[in-house]
Amino acid sequence: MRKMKKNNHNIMENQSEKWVSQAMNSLEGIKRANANPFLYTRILARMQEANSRWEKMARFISRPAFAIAATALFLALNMWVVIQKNDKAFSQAEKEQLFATEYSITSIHYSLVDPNEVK
Amino acid sequence: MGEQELIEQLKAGEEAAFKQMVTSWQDLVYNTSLGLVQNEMDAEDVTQEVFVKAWESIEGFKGESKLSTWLYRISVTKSLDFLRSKKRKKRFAYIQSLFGLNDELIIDPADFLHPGVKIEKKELSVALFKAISQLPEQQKAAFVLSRVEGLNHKEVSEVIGTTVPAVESLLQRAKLNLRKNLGEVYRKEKE
Repeated sequence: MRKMKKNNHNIMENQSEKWVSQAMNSLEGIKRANANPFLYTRILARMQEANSRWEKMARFISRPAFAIAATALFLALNMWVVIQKNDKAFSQAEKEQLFATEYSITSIHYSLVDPNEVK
Repeated sequence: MGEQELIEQLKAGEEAAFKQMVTSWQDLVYNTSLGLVQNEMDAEDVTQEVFVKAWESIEGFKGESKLSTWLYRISVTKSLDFLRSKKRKKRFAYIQSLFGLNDELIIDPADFLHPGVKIEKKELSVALFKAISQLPEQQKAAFVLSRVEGLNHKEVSEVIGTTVPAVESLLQRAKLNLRKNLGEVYRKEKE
């Protein structure tokens, strides 16, 4: 019984190897596929379409309204960054002032006297 | 027109030279792309891109290799770029579908049948091309250039930009991977 199973396994392996080898050799004698006969026309159409897209973009960017809007946006962004930086600096100073006021701290005084000692 | 003259005219922007380049090498480019992307419509799209790219970058062609080698190189690069892009889109569509953002069916492409394969070997070639599609990029390129385009090892090395021993190693590994993959396919079918 065991011998039969082994034989079957060997037959399966041989068939598998045979099929794999046939598949590996299936490209023997392969011929080159032919491109579409209208390929050149399609390439030209593709290039013309790409050119017109760039032309449209260039025309849009060169409009005065676009240039003005882009400059205004650039300036606004710069101003926003500057304002943000200033706000941070003020708020830090303000916080320190508030803390000092709350706890009545005008100066820091160090004493060697033991506060627990009763006179 | 000799190759040197053709290159000069291409650099001068002569349309007639471009047309000659396309008609002379369109099958070379198409067949290479087809072997890699395994879809006729996609291969045609890639072929168009290859010639557009060649036209745009002819100024940078130094003539250190043949024009055909240069075109093979662009074809392989564009085809592999296409495959990477396709894989990204498929992954993105799958993620979208998980979130219910994309109701389109993700259809697996049909088995690829190369039109140039002999009739009696077509069925087996389908299995082989499927296995080829799962190879790592460099092995895939080397195998397609060698077995679909029929380039020798030296020519493949010039296209890929490596040495002949490196190409031999790539092909050896490609064959091992293909045999392993095909063996698994056979066993699955018999179960």
